[in-house]
Amino acid sequence: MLKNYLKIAWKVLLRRKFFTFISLFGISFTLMVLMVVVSFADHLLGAHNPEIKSDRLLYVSRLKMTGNGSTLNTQPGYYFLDRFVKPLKTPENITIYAREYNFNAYVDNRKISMDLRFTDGNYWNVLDFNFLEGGPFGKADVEGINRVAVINESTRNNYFGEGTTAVGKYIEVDRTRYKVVGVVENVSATRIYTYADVWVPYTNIKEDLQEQKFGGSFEAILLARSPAEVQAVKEEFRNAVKDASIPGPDAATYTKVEVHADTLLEAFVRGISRAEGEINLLMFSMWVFLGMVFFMLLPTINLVNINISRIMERASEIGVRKAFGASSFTLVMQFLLENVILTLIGGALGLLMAQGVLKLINDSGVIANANLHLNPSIFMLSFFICLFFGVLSGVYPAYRMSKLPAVAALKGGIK
Amino acid sequence: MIRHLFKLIWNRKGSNFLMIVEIFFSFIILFGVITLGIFFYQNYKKPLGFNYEHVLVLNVQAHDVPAAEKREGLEQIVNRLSAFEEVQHVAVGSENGPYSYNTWSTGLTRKNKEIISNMVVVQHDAFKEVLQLQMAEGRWFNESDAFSDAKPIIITRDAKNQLFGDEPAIGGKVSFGSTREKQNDVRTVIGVVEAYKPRGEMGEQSYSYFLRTSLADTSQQAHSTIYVRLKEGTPPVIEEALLDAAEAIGRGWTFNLRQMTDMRTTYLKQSLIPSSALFIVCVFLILNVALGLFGVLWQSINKRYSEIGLRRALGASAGDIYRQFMGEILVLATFGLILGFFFAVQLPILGLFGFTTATYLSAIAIAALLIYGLVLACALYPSRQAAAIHPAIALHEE
Repeated sequence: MLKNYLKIAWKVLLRRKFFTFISLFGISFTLMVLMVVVSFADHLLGAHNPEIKSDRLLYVSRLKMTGNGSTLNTQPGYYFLDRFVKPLKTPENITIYAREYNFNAYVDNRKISMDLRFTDGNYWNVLDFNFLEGGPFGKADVEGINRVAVINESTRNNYFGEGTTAVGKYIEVDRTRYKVVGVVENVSATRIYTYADVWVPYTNIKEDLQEQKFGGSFEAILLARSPAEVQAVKEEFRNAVKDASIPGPDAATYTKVEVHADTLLEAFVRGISRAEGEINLLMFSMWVFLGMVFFMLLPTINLVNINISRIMERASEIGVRKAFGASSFTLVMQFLLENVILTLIGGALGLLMAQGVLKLINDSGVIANANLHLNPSIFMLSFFICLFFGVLSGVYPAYRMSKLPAVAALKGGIK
Repeated sequence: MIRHLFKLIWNRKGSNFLMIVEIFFSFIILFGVITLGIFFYQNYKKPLGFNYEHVLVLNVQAHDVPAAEKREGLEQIVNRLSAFEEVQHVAVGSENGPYSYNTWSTGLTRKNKEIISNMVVVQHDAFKEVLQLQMAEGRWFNESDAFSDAKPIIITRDAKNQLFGDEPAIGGKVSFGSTREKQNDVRTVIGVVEAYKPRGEMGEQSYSYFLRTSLADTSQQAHSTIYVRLKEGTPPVIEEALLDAAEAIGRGWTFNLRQMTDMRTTYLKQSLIPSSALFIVCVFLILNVALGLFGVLWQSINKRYSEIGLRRALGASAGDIYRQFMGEILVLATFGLILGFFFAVQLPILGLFGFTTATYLSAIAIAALLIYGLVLACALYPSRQAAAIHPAIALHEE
């Protein structure tokens, strides 16, 4: 039976090539856009190198001070993180590091623009970098203010030349020579909290770390013992900063400080929505869902429209089937199946197109070290979106068709 | 004729409903995209006001350095850099230069008029030459302005038009803050700059004002961005020499040197890529709809074969049939557009999203025209097919 349906579906697709083209065009393009967006979101927020344990990571990256009608949005300073984040008991590990700085190096009359991050030794334990050669610097290097650096693969290729090793050689950063101790796999610029080209011990930073002020240019990542303990870590952090009083000259202007330990997704939502307080992820998902529905609405209506035309064209076939006793349910199922097959073909095309677009984005260099790709979970998600799309756009036409009176249908359709 | 067409469509509203909904959504999408397009175009049309080529931006961070020493050091660096043969002009200014992602805005008021304006502080007069700003009226700063009791200020032409209208601006008084607060810092306008768009070509902000302070004046903040204009054709290697020279003076300071052309490329990329992605997606959505409409129209003409045959047999010419089908699709589009207009017009009425009413109205008009053009293009071929139907064959089939 199923084999017959498949056969019919295939024949119908071939019969009206123009309609098939319109349907496939709409389906494949819609699904391509969805796949690219999903893969981008996954790239931005999923568990990828080096944030493999992302379900256990919490980020303290923004600090807001308000008072007397002024607002200051900044990053936390070292002083703040040292006082309020370091003493936390519930996290398994904590790393404090500076946001990235851009600097230029000049090699053989070429200018290489690189991003530099000052980190502590824990950074390499909290995050999972893939070392291609050498290893990380440790606590002793940080405390000893050693001039050591970890660089990424593309810096090795740019600075020392393709196919060479870098460990043991010296790299000049900001007029200072650092000895390379490790080379890591490239990190995409979309990992805004961990991305850099060169990492060096934070004690090398030319800044007074003990200056008593909350704002600055540091961030912290907290590693919870297990995903279940994330809430406990947040709770502890919330209590720790609840009664923080602003020190130094800032105290004259600002009275209240607001800072959160967010998961990667929450930090992202906070970044785009500038929300205060705890992030309401449910609300955010609802907006995302609404956006997706709105985007899919037009192609769906279009597909429904075309499907109705196609099905009504087959009125006489339906009449015959009905006259020989096929129930409405059987017919609806048959047409739904046909439509789902059509969407799956469209989905497969969309997948190929998405693959191409992602490669285009990766190669264009718009995002440094971007490695956008489709993984099995995105593939599964796209498959379900296809099914949903197929059923959604097939149900109404199939229902209209099944309601056709058999006699009228036999006579050649209704007007 | 038209009433008749409306009646025809209305009678078949069940089967036309989906097409109307489709046209409605297409209109809404076009309306949104065109509104943004007009907005960007209007921004783009305003002059940029400065020249970003051959400009270097040197950010200086002097941590842990006593304020007096920093001022001294900055002044020395400026002098040292000016001495380079390849360097034409050097000036210290605030960090929020063009394409810098730093913004610094305040209210600027005159009588009961208020604008939110970008604020630029310059600490050397050469700032005008570095960015090649053009004066429209009055004069640019000179050294004495930093200590002048008249508290001079220079504003852009757009800011002048907004605050002063047709009145002369030179010698006029403006003050900081909003109209609601009491204003104590009153400034005298000494010049009007032709234009200055700190956020680049696509930026909306065209209100800016310039203040002049001196590095020697300890009551004022010492800014830490050095703007350098190079002679044309200077190779990038000079950057290293400039950095070496700066480093020799500011030992232990952090320097970050960028070319303004690079900053501009990054800045434009970041603002253009999302909008072009959005644009491409919308074009495909509309194309999708157009193809769908085309298919459905073609199909429906096949279904109305006998009706056409009958009309032809009763004496309607091929042109009549052609006009009927074109007319029907226009009426169909009108139904969708009326619905769309109802929603779109809420934006200017409720004042949502902050675009001007003129922008909204022209977007509505352009979107409606595009929709009419689109449906006509889709109906062209099917209608011609309908007109070509031979009455004898059509009636015979029935």
